[in-house]
Amino acid sequence: MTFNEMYDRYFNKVYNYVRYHVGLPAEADDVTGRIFEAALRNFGTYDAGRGPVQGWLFGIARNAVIDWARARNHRGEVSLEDAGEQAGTEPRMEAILERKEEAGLILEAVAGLDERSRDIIALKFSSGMTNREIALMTGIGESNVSILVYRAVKKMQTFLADKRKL
Amino acid sequence: MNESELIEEFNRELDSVLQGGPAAPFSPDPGAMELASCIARADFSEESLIKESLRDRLAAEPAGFLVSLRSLFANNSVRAAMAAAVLVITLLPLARRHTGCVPETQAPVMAALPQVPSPLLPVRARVSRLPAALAASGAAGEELFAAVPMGRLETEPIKAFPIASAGSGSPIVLAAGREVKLENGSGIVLETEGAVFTLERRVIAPEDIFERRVI
Repeated sequence: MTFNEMYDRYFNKVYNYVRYHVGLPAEADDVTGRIFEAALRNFGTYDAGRGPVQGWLFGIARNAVIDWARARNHRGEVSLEDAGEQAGTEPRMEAILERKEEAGLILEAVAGLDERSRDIIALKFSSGMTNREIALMTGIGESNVSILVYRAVKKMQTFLADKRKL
Repeated sequence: MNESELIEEFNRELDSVLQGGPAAPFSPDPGAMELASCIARADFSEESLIKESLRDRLAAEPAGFLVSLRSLFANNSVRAAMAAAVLVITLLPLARRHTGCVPETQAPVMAALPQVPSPLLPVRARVSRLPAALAASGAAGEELFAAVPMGRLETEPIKAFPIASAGSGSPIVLAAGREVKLENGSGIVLETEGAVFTLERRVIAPEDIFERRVI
């Protein structure tokens, strides 16, 4: 697989993964750009014998998101949840939310999760990796990944039910 | 069904949904599975403003070129094709030199009989057209084309002479020579690094080459 093929196949997935963590689309673009720049620099070191390319790529993506979160905390910026709220005030985001209210609600629900659950949900629904692969990447046991996925979905379900009541 | 079994069943159905399959109707928690299906469908990438520009920018970077080259050579079939191409390029000069080594007795006969469709004829048939005396002596080409030192010329390295068109698309080789007057006509003296020889230009009778038979 060439770098361009990887880019075309995984850009949307990587962007979605980043978007679950990063509140603003522009910032998600910035982080995604850094991920693919790092992937390009290190593409020669990727060894297909050691695992599928999405595992390698999402490893880079995960590190980039962690770096971004550290830098944000260091700068004392707003939290993910707050950023999610602010995103709704951005004109472009508003237009998107009008068309994709469902997607916006999902982002809100994901933003309400704790950091570890959010990461597991982002990996599970964006990367196409199995629970075993996610377990290997995050260092959490495979059965714990299953539990975290189920409980996170249930928590989001409760959040969305409460939101509808309002 | 306890929570552990519920979680196992949920994850099994979720994997099926993520792989493009429908959510099973007997899911023990339809609401959770419906939400999971919504999350699986969600795609935020339309918000991205950099998808195309980032690809172009990365492709333009020197690292991008090197990566493209490296990934191209990682493909086994491309590697095999490149190896074959290198082998052909390496062996081509040898092959060309080999085809240049025309047997000494054939080249003059072919040159002297341009209108005879000889390539399809066996060598013995061509030799039999020579005068009986010449054929019997076994020196068919040597006497007629004694001026061309084929033996010495064959040991010389092959040179690239300029190729020109002789009209009607026929290519000819251009070689510089010096015209001289000979006893029976004229000739052109050609000099190579290893030999100097003269190509004679003189009138010959058909009997010099062919044996005339009356039926």
